[in-house]
Amino acid sequence: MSHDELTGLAAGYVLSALDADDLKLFEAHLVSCAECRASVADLRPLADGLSRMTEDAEPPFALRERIIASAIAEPKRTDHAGEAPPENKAPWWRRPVLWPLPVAALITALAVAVAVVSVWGSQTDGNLSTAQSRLDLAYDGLEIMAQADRWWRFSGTDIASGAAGSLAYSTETGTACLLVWGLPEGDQTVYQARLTGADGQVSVHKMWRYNNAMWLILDGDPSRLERLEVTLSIKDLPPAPDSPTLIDISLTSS
Amino acid sequence: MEELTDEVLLQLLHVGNENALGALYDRYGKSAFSLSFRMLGNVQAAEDAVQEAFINIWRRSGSFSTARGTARTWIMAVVHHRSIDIGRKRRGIAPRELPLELERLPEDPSDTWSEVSNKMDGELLRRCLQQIPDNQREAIELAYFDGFTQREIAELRGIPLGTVKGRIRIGMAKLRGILQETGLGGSTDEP
Repeated sequence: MSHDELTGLAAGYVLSALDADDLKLFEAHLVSCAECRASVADLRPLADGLSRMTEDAEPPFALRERIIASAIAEPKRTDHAGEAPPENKAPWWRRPVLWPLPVAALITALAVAVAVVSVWGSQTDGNLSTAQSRLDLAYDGLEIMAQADRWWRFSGTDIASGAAGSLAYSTETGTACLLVWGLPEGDQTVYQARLTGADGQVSVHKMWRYNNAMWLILDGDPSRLERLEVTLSIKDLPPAPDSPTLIDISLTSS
Repeated sequence: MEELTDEVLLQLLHVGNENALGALYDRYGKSAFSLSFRMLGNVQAAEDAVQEAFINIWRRSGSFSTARGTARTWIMAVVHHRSIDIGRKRRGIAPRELPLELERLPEDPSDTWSEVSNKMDGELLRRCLQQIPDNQREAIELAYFDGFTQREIAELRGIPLGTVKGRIRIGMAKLRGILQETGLGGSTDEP
């Protein structure tokens, strides 16, 4: 099929009207043809517009609750695989038993070690400088945690109940390492740390990520901060001031 | 939740927040049901289609990308496809392959019509659609609202497949041109 013929399929494609053979051809072609992707992007709002042409019909009242009930009953998604199923009792990190510091340190160090190994592996992807800088950061994080003399532990907010983490501060290096795990993985999901100083000043920092472990190195004693939050953002969009908070650490009360 | 954008709600869905699903349903449930009811002509079937669509969105929200289109476009595409599936099943027609619903397509930097899509209202589009020749409009409606493939439309109307393809292609291009004349965005290098 010629390129013109393929381009001519774009209209049928956005209407979901292509037959199986044309569909296969066109989708395979789309992967490598920016012109046809632009054509699809150009026509897709028309299909969206057609969906607005319908007479308003009121859905049954119970449909909303049925959808939510079905969603809750869904098995955990793959990015949560391995987590304990929800139980009536509080998650283990919320139970009133203090983590022994060596255990917390060990868990944290192991998580960073996994990240280090993973980052090392990513060097084969070709982006050597990024991998190297991540590796340096991971080593810095390990160093801070190995020498840390103050720890904060925390769990996720209601919208990220599977998340947990540690913040370690080393007086010797004068730096802190924030490590968070259990945050969901998604192609477009990015996380940022929002720091609020005692003077109310806010600064936002990008967090390093590998799978669902994330870390950030902070200069200075974190207890000088009023609050530290990990917030959800979307790739390629600027940080939004009202982005949802998944980790909220009140450092003054710790 | 009302103040959060669709994109943030989709991210919250990915985190497993059912309140975000409720908020998204509050925004698009009625449009979704209206489309599905228009396609299926049956309340129960439309309910099933909308429920399946929203569960699908719940499962796959993490793969949504603004670089491939708006959240509404994606949600309505999922609803459209589930309605086609259910409609075919109800009519005893074999299920068919449907296009990828945005998330697996390569990303492109911009969607030229994303703003247009948000401004477009049904009444305006209905008026624009009335301005294209009947046979082109019919082909577009049979494809979109009745879920027929181009080949099925050709068989249904007893005309060559190439004619159906041409009617859909030219009809959509004309529709786009008419919309542009109304002052709604997009470039002007198309027929």
